[in-house]
Amino acid sequence: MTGLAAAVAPPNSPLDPFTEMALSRLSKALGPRKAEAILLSILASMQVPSLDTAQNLCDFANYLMGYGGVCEAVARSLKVAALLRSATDRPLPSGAR
Amino acid sequence: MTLLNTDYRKCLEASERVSWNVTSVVPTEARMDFSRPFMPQAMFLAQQLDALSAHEKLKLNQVFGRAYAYLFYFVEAYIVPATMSHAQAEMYGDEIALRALLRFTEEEVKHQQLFLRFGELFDRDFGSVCELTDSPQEVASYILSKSPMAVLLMTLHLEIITQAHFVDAMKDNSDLEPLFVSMFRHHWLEEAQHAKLDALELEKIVKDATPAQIALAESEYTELLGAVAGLLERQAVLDIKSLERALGQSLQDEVREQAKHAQTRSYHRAFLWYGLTNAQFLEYLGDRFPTLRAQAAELAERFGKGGL
Repeated sequence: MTGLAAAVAPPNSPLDPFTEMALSRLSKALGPRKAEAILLSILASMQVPSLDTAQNLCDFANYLMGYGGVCEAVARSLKVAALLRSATDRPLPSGAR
Repeated sequence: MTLLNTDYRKCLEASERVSWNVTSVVPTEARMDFSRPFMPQAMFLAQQLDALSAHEKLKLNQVFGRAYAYLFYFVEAYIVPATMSHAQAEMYGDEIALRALLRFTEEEVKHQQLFLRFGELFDRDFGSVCELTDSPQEVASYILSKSPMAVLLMTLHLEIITQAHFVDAMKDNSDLEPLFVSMFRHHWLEEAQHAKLDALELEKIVKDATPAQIALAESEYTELLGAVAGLLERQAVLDIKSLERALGQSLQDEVREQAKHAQTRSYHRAFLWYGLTNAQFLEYLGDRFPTLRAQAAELAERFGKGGL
């Protein structure tokens, strides 16, 4: 189990599909270590343990957008994936990165 | 499940295998044979009208063919941005799916160019102007305002009917204008993958959907059918005007009404009834969209039961 899985999922259980989607795409773009760090940081900002709904994935993508660069490209893809699953694009809470 | 007996890799490989280019299918110097019908008799209900002469039927058939091809150009206006979204959603994800979806999008743009090229050649040699319903972008905006699931259902419906038309009525039909048939044969070759990709994309979305989201998609798809029916009815009216222009004379009021009715029925049958009675489409709806599946026969009846 990776550090991330240990942090967000009970022992020996797989990540839920949207967390897995976000992590694997970030890993592909940035490498696993940086991907995990960013994902954990955003989950903490969102105050959720994992991305268990399309709405969470959409909110996550909006947080990730603020990192710019490749993260923004990954965020756009995740956001479209969430919107296709009927998530709503809503603004980040004020003060969020 | 026939439609889902595939995956992104198979769709990609099939797409690469059957690929063609616009110029080879509709060369700019090509001449169409206007002594022949374009649309198969089975799809052209005005053929049954006693009030129209053989010459008038032939002209109306050709006008129908012009508009039929244009309507596929027309619907691509929403399909292209919709498939682009699905491709974008696979960035940094599954590269095979991404390639398959990018090819899907590219092929739809190519189909638009194909139908435009056909329209140019038709207009050059037909002898009079055919009127076509306008504002594809407006219609695209309306369709894209619906939920992604409803949009995909509509797309799947359209991808399936174009195949059904070709296989049921155009393939091996030596009476028809050959370039027109060849164009739809090439279209069909690629649309076969597109329908499968639509179903694969729908599967991704449906599995995470709530019952309320499914119900919304079902009702929005039904709304879209109604909107398409209205669009087709407007095209049928324009076809009769185009026929009168081509003949250089007006039809008697009663004959005009009969012809308009037959054209509307032909369009509704081709674009709506064909989908709502298609075994593959109904099989796909199955228990994924149970309300819609249960309503399909009633909706099909509304759009003409397939006859005049």
